[in-house]
Amino acid sequence: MIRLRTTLRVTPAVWLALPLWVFAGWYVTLLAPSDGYGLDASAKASMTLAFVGSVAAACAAWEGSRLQRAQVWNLPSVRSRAVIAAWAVLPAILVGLVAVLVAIAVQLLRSAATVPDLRIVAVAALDLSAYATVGFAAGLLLPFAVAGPLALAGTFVWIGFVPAIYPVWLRHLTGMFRDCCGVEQDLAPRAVVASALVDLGIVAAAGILVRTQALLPRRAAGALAALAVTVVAGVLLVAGMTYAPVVPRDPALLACRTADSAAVCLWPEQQARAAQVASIIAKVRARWEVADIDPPRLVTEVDRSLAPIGALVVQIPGSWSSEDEVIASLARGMLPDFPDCFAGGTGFIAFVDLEAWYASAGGMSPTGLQDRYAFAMEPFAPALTVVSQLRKATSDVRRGWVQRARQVSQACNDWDPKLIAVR
Amino acid sequence: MSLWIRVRAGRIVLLSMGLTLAALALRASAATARPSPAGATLAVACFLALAVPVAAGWGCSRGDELLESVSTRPVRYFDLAFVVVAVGLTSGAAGALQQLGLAGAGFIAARAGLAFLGLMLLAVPLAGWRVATMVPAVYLLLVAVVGSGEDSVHPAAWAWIAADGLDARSWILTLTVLMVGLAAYVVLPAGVSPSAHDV
Repeated sequence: MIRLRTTLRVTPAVWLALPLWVFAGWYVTLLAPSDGYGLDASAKASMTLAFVGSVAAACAAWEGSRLQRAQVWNLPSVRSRAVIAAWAVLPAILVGLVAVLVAIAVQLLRSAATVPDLRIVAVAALDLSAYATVGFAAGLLLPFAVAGPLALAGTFVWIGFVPAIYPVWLRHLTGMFRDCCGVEQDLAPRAVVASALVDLGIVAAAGILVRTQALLPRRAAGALAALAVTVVAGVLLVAGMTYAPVVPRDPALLACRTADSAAVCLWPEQQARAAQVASIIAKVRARWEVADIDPPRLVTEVDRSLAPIGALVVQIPGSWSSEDEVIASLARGMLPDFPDCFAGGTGFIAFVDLEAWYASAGGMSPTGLQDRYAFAMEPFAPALTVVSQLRKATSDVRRGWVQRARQVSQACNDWDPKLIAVR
Repeated sequence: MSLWIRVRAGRIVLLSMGLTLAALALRASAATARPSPAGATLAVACFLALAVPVAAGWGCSRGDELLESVSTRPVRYFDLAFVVVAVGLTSGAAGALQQLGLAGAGFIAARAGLAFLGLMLLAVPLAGWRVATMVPAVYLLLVAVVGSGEDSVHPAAWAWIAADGLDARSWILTLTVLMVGLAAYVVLPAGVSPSAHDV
């Protein structure tokens, strides 16, 4: 154990603590706030790991270098080397963890959320332990002039650059879950386990590398083997995932209420304005009925993959959103799924026209319509022109147009432009 | 002289120069990424450019600081020449590689290497070679984390190493930092760190 006064005097992690915490707290203010969802806020704040982890690794490299320069590391000792190393890297890990917690707290405040996600905190702690251990090992094996920059830049490359590499699921091994989570999503347990495994592999590899009994090639082979096994295990867990480490959120958390003969199911984060949203939905349903659009009986925020057939799946924007934005999200929810085409769909214009029609028919203000749909995609008519034609059209024409537009939206090849005309 | 160059790990520095240039010849060195939403878009070459200044700085940190401070030969200026030649040659070769079409980000690496050298030289009189190698790494980290400018393509003014390789302003800034670093190294007194004879 190192005395507190000594720690304060000789540990760079302690000297850098306050600036690092302030920087981490300030950094998250540059990110978009989450929508009242604690998990999302925590995951976004985990982006601070990119520099907090680097600083922790560099500080740990300093500690390793200090022990090596003073030739303490190779001296016989009562305590095991693992215990000596643990005490040496502990300040770097704790200072880093507090920085991440500060970032999470600031992001929670900005997002009007209250509860941080403990899985994110736990993974961050494990990540920091892994980076600090590697930094410490680098400090023992290399002079600080090399180990310091290597720990700093190497850690950053691992956390910051791996997410830019294909395949996209590789990023889940880093333990930085910036792409998690929409309000309808939860953190994927596979990603958590995979990143934890890789962290353990990194710690094991660093531990094997600094064992003094074995020859360096042997230690290097052992370290590589430990790393390879855990990375392969991690890869097997996350292979095939999308860029976002997410699974659908448990639908049991939805709170449902009835609004004008339709059920409206919203996540707990939306409950503060659930009555307002339900009233907007009721108005939109009534207007859709008048405009010959069959209103859905269930409007839900559940993930699309878990939604009952016929339900309107929506993502209601946050508390800051206007009535027009809620209407826009309902209009988007009415759209068909994107087609599964090899080279992408060819009927994108149909999505634009359909959304504009659903929004207009649902009662979006003229300004809202102008802001969103007043553009033309050559050679097609502007969406608002289509909308005004539909407003004047008979019921049969409207229904026929919607049916054809939905067909066009699924096209993978060329299609006849007459299909999208109002007639 | 041969002892001096051996103490400075001349062969390893030479090896780092060769490896850096070999890595710059790989297509991946020109790949760019924006690791942080508030950060600049950086080429992999910027990270590769860190290797030679760090290796040369480490070489200079290997000498017996106390002994060399009273040497009849101007070891301090030998060290300066050593790092300038190592980084200068690498930067020149990186630029030449790009001119020859053998590297995609040679100018970016060349500029980054010279900027890192300037920053390192600026730090040497204050912190010594051992810690000075951290300064360019910290600068690179800051550029990557919060170096964004008006958009993802244009970095902030202070994060010029992330600009396009032929951006004139970034080269002027690089040369300015290099000159300031050289001046600081020459003008500021060389302190011998209290721990010079710890080992």
